[in-house]
Amino acid sequence: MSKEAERKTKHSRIGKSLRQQKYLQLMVLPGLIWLIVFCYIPMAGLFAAFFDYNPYLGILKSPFAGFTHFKELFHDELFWNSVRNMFGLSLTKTVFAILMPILFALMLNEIKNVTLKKIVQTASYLPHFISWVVVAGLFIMWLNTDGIVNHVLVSLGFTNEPQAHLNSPGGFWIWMAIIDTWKETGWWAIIYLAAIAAIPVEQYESAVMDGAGRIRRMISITIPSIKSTIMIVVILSIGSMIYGGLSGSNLQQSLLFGNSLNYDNSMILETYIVNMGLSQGRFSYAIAAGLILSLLSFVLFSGANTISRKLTKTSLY
Amino acid sequence: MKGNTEDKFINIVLVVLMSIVTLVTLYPLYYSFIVSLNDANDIAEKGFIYLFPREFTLENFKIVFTESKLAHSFLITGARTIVGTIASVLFTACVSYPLSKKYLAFRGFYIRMGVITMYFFGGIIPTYLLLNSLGLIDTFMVYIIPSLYSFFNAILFINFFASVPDALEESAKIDGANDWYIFWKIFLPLSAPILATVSLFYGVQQWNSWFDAAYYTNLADLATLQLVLYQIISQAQGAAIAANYLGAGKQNINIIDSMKYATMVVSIVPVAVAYPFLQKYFVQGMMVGSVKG
Repeated sequence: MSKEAERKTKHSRIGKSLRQQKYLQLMVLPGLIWLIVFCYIPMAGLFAAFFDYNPYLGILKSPFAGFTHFKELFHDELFWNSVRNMFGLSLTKTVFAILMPILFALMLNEIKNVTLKKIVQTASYLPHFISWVVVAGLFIMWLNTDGIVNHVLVSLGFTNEPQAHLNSPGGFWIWMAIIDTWKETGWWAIIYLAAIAAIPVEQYESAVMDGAGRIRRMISITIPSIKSTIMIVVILSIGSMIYGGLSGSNLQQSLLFGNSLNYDNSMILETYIVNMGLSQGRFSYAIAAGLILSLLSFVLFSGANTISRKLTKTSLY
Repeated sequence: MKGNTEDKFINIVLVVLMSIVTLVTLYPLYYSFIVSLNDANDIAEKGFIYLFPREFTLENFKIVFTESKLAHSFLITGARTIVGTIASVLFTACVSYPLSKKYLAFRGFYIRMGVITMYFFGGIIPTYLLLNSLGLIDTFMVYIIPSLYSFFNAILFINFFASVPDALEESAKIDGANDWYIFWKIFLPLSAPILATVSLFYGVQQWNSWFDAAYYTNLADLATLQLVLYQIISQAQGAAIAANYLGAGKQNINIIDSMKYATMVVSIVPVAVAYPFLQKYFVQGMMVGSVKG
């Protein structure tokens, strides 16, 4: 067949499929439109970083600014501070966020009593469904100088003086990690528990016959079997580290727990962007910072995915 | 036998450890519950309670339900949760169904378009500017439309629909049904577990949402429960609400904390009540989604 005829056949085949699938294609269409409007147009909006965007003129008529905003950004100490805080907060949280669910799932799996197992598991992911506003409200009250945490610490003799734990930069990252762990461990453990449930029972039975003890069985069977699940979660965690790991809670925590006293450690890049953009209305400037944020996130995500694929043959795409 | 002693020891350690974990997880919520039911002045005078309310009262909840700002926000949050959840679940299900068919033309392209949105974002500012130019700022729809579709939830639907035996669809097509009918009358009724799971996810997201209320709306009438709670946490607003309720001239700052607890309990209770029923579905749903995905 000639090239022309080949193309015509391909087109008519696609045309025929489209006609056969017209309902399906119509059903996909709203989703496609939604994605373009609410995901891809904002992505394109990142280009406003290179202009002096004026909402009244629109992007096409706004004056071109090149790298002006970026230069100003890199000279702003607050910007660098917010980047440092973002990594500091995220790294602290990610360490716990990866380890704790695995430990919890492994321990939960070892519980023989089914009722106890169910109770513990159900209780463990209730905090996940509580809003950050509520969690912040509670923990801010409790970590205050006159709050219950200090009350208990003093009466048990651990410390002489009550401290406003959240009102100084020092403990901010650790406390955010602790609270995030409390809130999300049970939830992320579900994924591991699902993977563990898929391990064939025969493997354990033959290990018992070979004389392997509880701990030995866990180390030699359970952990290796969930290795690929762990890798996927690690990729996702590193990839979303910019936003605070899988739970993406950095912005929530920074906005809700942050105040003028712990500012030095609590203001992250996302908060900087919200302040510059939504509060101060410096759109292009904030978008420039946002572009950096999105690029960082993209690089981390792709990097983590590629490295994992090279090392362990597991990857997301 | 050696195995037995090791076993017993580990079991005991596990039970103790897990019980501590459960207590640590639940106590904060239980504590909020008992304080919300306790008289505010009693706490101020006599100090902390740990296990049970000392002076039982429903006064704190009365404030929550009668103080107009809180009561109204409760309605808004309820409305957006119901409308938003139903809309999002149906929209996502409908849009995901075709993607579960391997024979769909351009399927790879559609899926790649969705996957990209999971790790590259335009960000808050471009989104705000978009919502502004769409005229959604300061409207109820700003709570609904931007939340209609999440590709994570779409994946759950896609995996589930793909796991349904082909025979079902084939026999329906032989009988002359079109794809829309097959989706609506056959696949959707089968997807109760996934519907429950995704409803829970979207529902909780709607219920807990405060950022969009804070930054995408200005009208006090559109304030959500979480937003008002956020305002109460900042002391100034809390004092204002308390003063409003107690009437001019009566000062009682003790009541602010108890009010916070009561509002929080009100915000937690619907979730805590709904989720035991839905939890067996979403554990299933997460397992289907994660094992396949």
